[in-house]
Amino acid sequence: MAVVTPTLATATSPGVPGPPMPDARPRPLRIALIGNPNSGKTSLFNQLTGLNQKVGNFPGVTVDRKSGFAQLTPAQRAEIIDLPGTYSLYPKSLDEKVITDLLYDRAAPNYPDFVVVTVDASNLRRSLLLFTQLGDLGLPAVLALNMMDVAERHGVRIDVPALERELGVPVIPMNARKGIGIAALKIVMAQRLAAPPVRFWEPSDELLPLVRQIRYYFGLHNDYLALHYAQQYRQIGFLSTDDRGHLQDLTQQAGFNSTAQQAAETIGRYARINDILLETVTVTRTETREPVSNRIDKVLTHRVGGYLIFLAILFTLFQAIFAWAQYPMDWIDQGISALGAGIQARFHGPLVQLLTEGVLAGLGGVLMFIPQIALLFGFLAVLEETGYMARVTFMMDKLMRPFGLSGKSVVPLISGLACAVPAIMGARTIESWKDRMITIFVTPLMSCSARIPVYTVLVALVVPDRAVAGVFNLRGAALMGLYLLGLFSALASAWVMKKLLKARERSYFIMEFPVYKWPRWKNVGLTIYQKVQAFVWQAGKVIVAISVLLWVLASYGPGQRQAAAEAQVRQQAPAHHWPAPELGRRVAAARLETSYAGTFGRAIEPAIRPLGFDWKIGIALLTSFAAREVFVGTISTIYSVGQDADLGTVQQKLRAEKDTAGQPFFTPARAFSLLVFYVFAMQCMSTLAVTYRETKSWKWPLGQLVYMTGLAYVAALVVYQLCA
Amino acid sequence: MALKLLEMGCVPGVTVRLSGRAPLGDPLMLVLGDEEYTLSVRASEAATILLKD
Repeated sequence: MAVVTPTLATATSPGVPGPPMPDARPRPLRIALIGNPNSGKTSLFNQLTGLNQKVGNFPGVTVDRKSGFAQLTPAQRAEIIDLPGTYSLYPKSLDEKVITDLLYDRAAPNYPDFVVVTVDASNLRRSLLLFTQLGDLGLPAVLALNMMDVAERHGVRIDVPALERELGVPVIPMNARKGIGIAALKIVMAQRLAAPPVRFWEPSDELLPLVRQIRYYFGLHNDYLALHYAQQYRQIGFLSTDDRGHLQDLTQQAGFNSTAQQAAETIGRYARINDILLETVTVTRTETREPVSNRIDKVLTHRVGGYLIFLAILFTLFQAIFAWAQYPMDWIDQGISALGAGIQARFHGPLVQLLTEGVLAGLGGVLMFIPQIALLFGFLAVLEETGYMARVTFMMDKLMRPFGLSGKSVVPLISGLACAVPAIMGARTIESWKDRMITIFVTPLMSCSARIPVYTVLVALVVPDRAVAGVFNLRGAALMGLYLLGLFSALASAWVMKKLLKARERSYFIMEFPVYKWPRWKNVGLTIYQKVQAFVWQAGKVIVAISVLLWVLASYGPGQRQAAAEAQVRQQAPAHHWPAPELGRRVAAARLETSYAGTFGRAIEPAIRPLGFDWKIGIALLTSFAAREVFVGTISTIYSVGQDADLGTVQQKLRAEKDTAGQPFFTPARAFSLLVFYVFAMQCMSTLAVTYRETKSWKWPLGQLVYMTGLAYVAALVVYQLCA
Repeated sequence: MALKLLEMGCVPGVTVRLSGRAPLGDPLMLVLGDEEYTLSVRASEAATILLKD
């Protein structure tokens, strides 16, 4: 099949008279992208779809699959489904199972018209294993021969026409990072592809009776798919219990040995691939010196230097989040409070108050944290993109094992710094059940970005802004201390879990080292954009809704109690000679205390008083159970209502808060107690929901809720009682 | 585990070279085949690979 001179009979550009088309807008093609990890699949996906993606890895939305739309030709659109990276069609971990669920069921609504297989041209032998399996399933395919530049540098020459002949599918040489070859790929993709004629491997004769039985029973179109049913019936989602029972009987009767068959198949396929490569690839070693990646590894995974560099990177991250992000955060905070003050100066009435004290105060609590969230996700994306994250798992494996975790647990734990929801889903790449469960259970103890608002505001309140030893900021160090507290509690909890849980299988750690690459800034930018957008919309909706509700509950009270409280304060006024602002503050405080929210907060105050919290913080703790980041918005709304002063920044409101004796409410003891509470407490509905979904049992999320919240209560109690 | 090693290209006839170790001695870095790609493998897993001169 020719690639370079495609005939586009159906594509006509608008305005040019062409042959009438049977259907002016053909149905979008459905195309799945599949390939090894690190084969440049994500780059290709981003090149094809641009900003036209639907990604949901925030509360409640699935990360199983990313999909997006690409305009292949003026007339042909295609839905592109990005599948997780895998080495073979025999899933070893949960994320790989998504692929088989999609490709085994022809009746599935998302069954693709064809697949684009991305392979690493510098690593063709191993990449082709997956391709030959897909080909034998009879799926129409295009081979995207990616990373041609790397292959050329390694002295690998590939005869593309010969490879097309051997594989029976179109082969497009490309460099997805630079966008080379995308146009040619789009043209080939726009054509309807036929199933490839070549078979690479077939089940042996002794297996044929079993395979044929399965094939006819299920009405399958191909022997190899039937073999996969025999291999994987326990894991195929769409089979009924009866079907599974039947397959179990069939395989037992035939004496089918799954492991031996898979091993024989893999060895057989590699033998065939070697033959193909002999015809199509010549390798001339141009350079004898060690590849650059290996030389970088000598430094970055050095016995001592490796850990120091890792610590330095983490430290830079915290400095960035705290010190550098402070300026844009202050601008946003001041901008919003100026806007609120401006509105209040010009307009009056309850609706204006709702807008400024409810909506704007709550919104400020969301928008203000965009710089930090963007920095954090950007940093993590760069570590992932460059290939450094793989080295971190490699260095950490032995350190993590005593805690019942594996090196692979490090990635969920580190992404837990951003958000526990995608991090818990990321634990799917851990093959061992026990390692995975422990990782899921302890990941929420890592301080996520939703805690940043609480940390930032409270640390700034009680820790002086001073440089220590000339370089690092005392507040940055305090922030890092909170993160370390989260990390150590996660490790300690993992150690306990290791003693409690029984292993189902041996854990292993086999992983490819990706070659170091410069990060693709477009991918990093896209990740930041998507995460910030998700944060603003998903968290923003909740926060604004809660802020409005809270404003109403804090501004109005049951019956005439508010009016009675206000009258009482005004009655006392002449005796105390309060000046007007003091009177105003006392009136506002009395009204808040007798409002719906105040009544409610008063009711729970006895339970949290030992921790140093009053009923106002009690309200904020309760709303925080929906999501932690609500805390700042809540406290800001409550204090706005309760302090008769002009609207200030969030910081000013907290500083202005007084206790019953008229002293500043936020003493170091109170602030640290509250900080420690937020380090440990499980206050995130989305995390509980995703833990339930990933573990398929309420036991795990309930365990997290009880364990973490109990830990938070005890720790905050100890801190307050010791410091006060 | 053996299947995973096979799928990653650690099949009979391929050359294997130990190129490095993690700072704490385990896991190992193995360089495989002509393409020279690097796998990270725990020492206990590497022990299951049979070597021949």
